[in-house]
Amino acid sequence: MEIHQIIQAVVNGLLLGGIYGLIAIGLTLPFGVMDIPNFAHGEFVMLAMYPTFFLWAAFGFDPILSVPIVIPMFFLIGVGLYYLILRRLFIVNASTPARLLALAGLSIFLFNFAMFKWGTTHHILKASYGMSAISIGPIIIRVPLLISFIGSVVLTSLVMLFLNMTFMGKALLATAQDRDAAILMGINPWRMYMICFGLGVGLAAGAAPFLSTFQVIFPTVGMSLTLIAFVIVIMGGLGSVTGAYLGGLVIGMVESVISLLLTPELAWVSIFIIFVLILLYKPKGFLGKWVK
Amino acid sequence: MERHIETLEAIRKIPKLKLGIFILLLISLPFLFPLSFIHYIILIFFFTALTAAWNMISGFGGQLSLGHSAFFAVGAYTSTLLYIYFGLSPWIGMVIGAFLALPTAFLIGYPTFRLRGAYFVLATLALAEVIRRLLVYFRGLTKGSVGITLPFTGDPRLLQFPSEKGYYYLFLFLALLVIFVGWKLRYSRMGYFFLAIREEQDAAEALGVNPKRYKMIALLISAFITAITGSIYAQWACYIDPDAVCSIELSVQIALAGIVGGMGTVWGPFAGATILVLSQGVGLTLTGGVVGGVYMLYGVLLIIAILIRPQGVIGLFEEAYKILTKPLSGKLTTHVDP
Repeated sequence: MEIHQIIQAVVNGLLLGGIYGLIAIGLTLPFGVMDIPNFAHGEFVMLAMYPTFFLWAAFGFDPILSVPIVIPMFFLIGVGLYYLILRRLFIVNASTPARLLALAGLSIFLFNFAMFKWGTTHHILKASYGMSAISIGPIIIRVPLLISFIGSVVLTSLVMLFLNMTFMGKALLATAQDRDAAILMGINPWRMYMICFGLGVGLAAGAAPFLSTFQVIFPTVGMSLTLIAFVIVIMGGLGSVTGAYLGGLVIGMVESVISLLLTPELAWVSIFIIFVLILLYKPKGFLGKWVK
Repeated sequence: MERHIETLEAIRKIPKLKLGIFILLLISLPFLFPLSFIHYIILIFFFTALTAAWNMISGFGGQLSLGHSAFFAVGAYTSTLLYIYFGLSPWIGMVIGAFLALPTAFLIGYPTFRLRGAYFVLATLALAEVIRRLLVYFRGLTKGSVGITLPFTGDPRLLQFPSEKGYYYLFLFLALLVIFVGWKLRYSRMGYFFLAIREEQDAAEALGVNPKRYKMIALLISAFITAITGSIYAQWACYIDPDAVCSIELSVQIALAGIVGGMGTVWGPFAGATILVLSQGVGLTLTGGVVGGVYMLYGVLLIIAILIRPQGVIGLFEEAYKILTKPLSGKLTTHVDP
């Protein structure tokens, strides 16, 4: 084991971690704003990978061109699901376990829907730059990973700009901090919830085209992404966008380094151990702001 | 007056009598119906046992678990591996597996019961995923994804029976035992602690009930029983692989039966398991056995159940029962009243 191999693993992990961070941001927003742990989050990433694949297979669409298509598409899907399920959960005043179960039900429905619709076969998207790489000294940077990382930085920055610069984004943050005070200021919380859930699902979909350039597409890929995203969100602190992104980088790095040092299968065990350690010693996460 | 009290006693005995008749009926079922039908009843008992065990932590304890397949897998693999490699009877392996499930449960219970919110359910999901991956990883021992095929001996000393009837009685006994344990637990002192913690943790804590401790007890009992069911399942199915015994699908089926039947009720798991097995049959017919078809139905059922009737269907039966028996009990009360 040479030192440059470890550096290589760290670099790969950081690049992959950007996508994890992006996925985690989509999860942390509804969690922080409306207290909805979206168990179906990874499923939306998985679902958005399919249109990306089919656009590429049918018209030779580059995956990156799919990003502006799948984000609005899944934003609308998110809004639809909000009216269909989540709003009703609030109306019947469902307990926390009931909310969790309803979203778990959604998750099961979605990945089985994918299995039903597209079968269990693995789809592989071979982007034109899928195999190319840039080498800096002994370190090799794979182009799809690099593009994913840049994409995640761009999308995360856009989310930050939206949250901090626009009126709607500020209203969203206000609802997260103090729902009652936000209502008194004339903010309609239902509208905020709708936008927030739509945004979360849209961000999950935004990660999918990048992910599909180096990840095999199959119906059950979402489950582990959901779990990884939850670990990241808890690590970063519920509702913290910065925390989620940085957490994504850390988890990506851990996964990559453990895969190199031990074996890829044990990377998962190490993420679980990190999860338990965070729960034991830092349950509010590192950058938690809105924890109630 | 004396006579009236006797009548009152007789009324009190009615539920026990009915339960007795119900159990007698269950015992005689294998002689009345063909074996293909009995297979479905066994499945109902199997899910009743699992759901009743799940109900102890998720229903009584109020801590939702979506990873009970982890404990199931610990039980199934422990007894099977001990049998395959050391020839140890699964009757003993079953107990060892159940005791191994305890530290597994402790591992997720200890860090999460100090916190509130979605942490426990996440930990259960993650634990099941970790155990599944470990089972695949240690393929030298567990044969990985290929799975282990157990020889069928039909020897009761090895927890196997020559005909389905044997399994029928085994699972019947198991289901009734778990329901009985659940009933005892629900109406014990501890059961009221569980209820207090679930409904108002702060108030319970202020009155000196330690939530961490009682949630842990509920989880340990639940995991113990689930592991035992896992061992029995392995000997019944004669084949185990990580995807069959440690899958999210199994955990979801258990949770679905639990929520549809009625979380925190004694007989809810039985009603839920019955609906689960029935909907499996209906789902298979409707979808023609397409991949994912039945589970799509389960997902929709879960959402609908929560939106329409989060307290479960068992209450419906109780209401129907009350309406049916109302004229009768009304008459008796007027008679008893001195």
